[in-house]
Amino acid sequence: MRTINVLLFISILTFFISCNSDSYEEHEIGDNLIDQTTDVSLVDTFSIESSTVIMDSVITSGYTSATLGRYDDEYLGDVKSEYYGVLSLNGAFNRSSIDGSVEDVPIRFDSLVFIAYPSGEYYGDTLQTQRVIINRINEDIELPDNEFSFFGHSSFTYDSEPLLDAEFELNPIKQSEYNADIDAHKEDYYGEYFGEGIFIKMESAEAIALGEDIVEKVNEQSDSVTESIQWQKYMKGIVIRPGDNNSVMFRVPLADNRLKLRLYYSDTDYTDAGKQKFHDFPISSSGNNESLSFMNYSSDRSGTPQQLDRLVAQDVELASEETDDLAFIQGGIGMFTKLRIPHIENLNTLGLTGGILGAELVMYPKDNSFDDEMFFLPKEGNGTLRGGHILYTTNISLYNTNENNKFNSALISSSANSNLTMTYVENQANEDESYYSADVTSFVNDVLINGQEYDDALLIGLPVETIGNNFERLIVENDLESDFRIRLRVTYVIQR
Amino acid sequence: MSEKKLVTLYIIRLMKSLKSVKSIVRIFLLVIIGSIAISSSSIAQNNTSSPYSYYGLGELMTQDIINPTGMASLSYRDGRVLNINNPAALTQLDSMTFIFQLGMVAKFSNLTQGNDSDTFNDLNLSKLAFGFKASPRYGVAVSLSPYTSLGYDITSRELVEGSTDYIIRSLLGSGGLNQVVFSNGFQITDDLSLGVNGIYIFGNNSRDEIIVPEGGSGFTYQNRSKLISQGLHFNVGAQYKMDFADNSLMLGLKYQPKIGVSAKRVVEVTNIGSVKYEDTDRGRYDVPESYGVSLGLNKGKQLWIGADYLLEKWSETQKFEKDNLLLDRNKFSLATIYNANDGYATKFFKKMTYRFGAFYDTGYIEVRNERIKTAGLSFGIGMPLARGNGMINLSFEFGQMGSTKNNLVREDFGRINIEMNLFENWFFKRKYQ
Repeated sequence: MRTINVLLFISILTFFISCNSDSYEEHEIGDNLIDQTTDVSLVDTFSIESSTVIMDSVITSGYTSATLGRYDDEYLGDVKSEYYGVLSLNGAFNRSSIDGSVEDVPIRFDSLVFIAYPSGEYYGDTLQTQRVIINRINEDIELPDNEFSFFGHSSFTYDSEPLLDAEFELNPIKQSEYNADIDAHKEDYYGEYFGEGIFIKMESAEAIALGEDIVEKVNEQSDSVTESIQWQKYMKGIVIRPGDNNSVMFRVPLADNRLKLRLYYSDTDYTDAGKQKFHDFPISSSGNNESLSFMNYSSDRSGTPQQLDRLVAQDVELASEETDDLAFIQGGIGMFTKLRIPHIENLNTLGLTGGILGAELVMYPKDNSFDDEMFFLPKEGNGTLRGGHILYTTNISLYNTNENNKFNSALISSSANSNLTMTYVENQANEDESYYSADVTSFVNDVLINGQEYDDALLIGLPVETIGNNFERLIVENDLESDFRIRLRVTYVIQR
Repeated sequence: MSEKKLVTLYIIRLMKSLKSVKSIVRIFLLVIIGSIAISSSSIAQNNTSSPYSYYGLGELMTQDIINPTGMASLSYRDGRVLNINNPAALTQLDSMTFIFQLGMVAKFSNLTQGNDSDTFNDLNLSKLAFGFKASPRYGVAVSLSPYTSLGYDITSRELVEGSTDYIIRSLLGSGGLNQVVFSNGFQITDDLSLGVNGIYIFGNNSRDEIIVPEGGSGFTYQNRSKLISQGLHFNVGAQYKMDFADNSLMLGLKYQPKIGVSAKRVVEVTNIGSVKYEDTDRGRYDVPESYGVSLGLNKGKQLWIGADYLLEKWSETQKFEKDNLLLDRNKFSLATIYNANDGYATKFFKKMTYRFGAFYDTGYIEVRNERIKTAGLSFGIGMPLARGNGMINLSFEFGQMGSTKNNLVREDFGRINIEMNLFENWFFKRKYQ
């Protein structure tokens, strides 16, 4: 009997415990009755000191595309890229053989042509006529001692008389159309060039002399035109320069030989006599010579309204107070906005203790410093719509730094193990209120826990890995009196 | 758990004075099962889901250990009822009988606020007790029961001050304080009994606040605070009987001094994976000075009518040297118990005990200038087990706590109590086994 009672107890007990209300349900009733021990508020009154820093050495070699051209920037002055390109032999250049016989046919030089198929990306005014100048490099291209790459300030000597100095119209989107058959004059496209790319015949005496010299070497069966190493000694490379009044910078990919010199020739005898033939000397994008082509950037900031010529070395920083409350970001040249937020740790003094739920760094681009036609804001893709805003990813990255302005480490995004980049939040209703934003929660949390040195700061700009081949730029507003100053918005929980 | 050890230790000491090994084993098993269940359930489960359990030490659990809850009991005494509320009543226990008691409670509540309502079911063990008459003038009992309970779980969506973003805030209360009561009743004269309860309060009141940004970035802020009780206090009781004719009048009294019970307070704040704040504080919280007075009338042997008044002076209590901001609690309760068995009953209904009760409790909290009062009615039956081996007490209670005035919450609840009483004839030696 008592055993039965015991069993009864246990079974009722089990029933009771298993019948309890699910504790994971959410209940809102009574939320006004219970005192919270915390207050949650947005703290965005941090003082943020901004300045501009310029990189000493921007790596400009090793890219799979070339940045060409020049633009004149209202804020950043003249920016010019001179591209030092190594021409690849692209296979031995031999005379034609006749039906497999050992007897070769001498060839005759026809013309030398500059061909480029832009990527479609550009920066600046495409409506004006552009100029391209190509000179032959007369110095062996070798990497600097103990370095594996060239920098924006690297250069080599070249012949003073250019191979090409011509004007052309840049239509980057249309000219980006590349068709291998058309490019190679296959069957239907024999004779005239029917492609969309930039195609400029090099008519200077120097170009003709070079072309004839190459043809002569072919006819002589010189190893200068059959072996890469000898070719490199003979033809060290070319430098592609913009004219002083160019108004646009654009990019040309190196894949598929889209940037090249082409030599047209014809056989002097036999079946193909007089028929159009050609040999391409592309700017090399692969192989041993890959890292030898590079951009040389120069920027003339002497006449800029904010006197940015005061930026002379990486350890010099130009405070925004001295540049009309602006800070600057520029690719290629390597300008970064430096932010020092010295009082983040003051949050630790609020309440008994506290914590963060989120931290966002917000930067507004300077009004009218950009447009949708020429001077674009850095942003990628078509964006995603969220609550009346369009969110664009950008490649603007953040780095830890100190008084040396060296890049110590990149900030990491909290969601993925990738470098943190800013998002452009476009306000469709009020374009003026569009801004750049970065989720810096982890960074702020780290400062709150581990503290920061007086000189610790952030460098914000284009990613160090790709800045050498980047012509984007951003002018950031930081007028401390304005609503559009740079802000750190921290959602902070204060424990009472 | 040291609390369980204490109980077990006491039981072992008790066992030494007992003879029947078989019974000892059996009872021992029951005690073990029961105490495991009661301790685990009072930690893992809630005895309440009321937002009002946020206040003070939590929702006060009823101390009326006879069934149903909420009934007058201070002036009640019965040979087979462990009236721990007034230990003086233990002198009435039948000699030769060891009483073992296990109670369970199921609470079904409906919370209403404005136009919203929400229902909860809370089911738990409510008590574990045993007692017996150790000598003709001394009755003793040990019990384990919840003293207070926390069980709120509130989630709200709030605008961040100065921003357009929202956060989700969860306030969670769980756990509660449990008590082990060592009750002793002494018969002074034929008419007067005195009693004392030694009480050890253990367990913890856990209050968590968890904040996350809406949209789920994964960053959280958590504040976990715990009041861990580990202290002793006591109260005393008296019952005085006045006979006239077939009837008797019983006066019941209870007094509890204000005592600071030792406790530990632990606070831990974590944010984004790291501990931002940790603090452990040792101190005391007060149990209130309390007065209870009761009058009971026994009419013949079958009918008892009683009324209690209880005053708990919570307004004077402190917690860790800070005023509690609580109010004095007044509780009035009535009860009628009718034992249908006149001693010769054969029919089942005639063997049962019927109980009716009512109570009005002002509670000890005030929210938004409103006292959170509770009132309820209860009805119960006691069903004897075969051969007088025990009694199953079943009761139903309906009540209401708070009101919807001032945008407060009203809780309408129903409670079912099931209580098993086992009677062991330990001190009775059969001549023929």
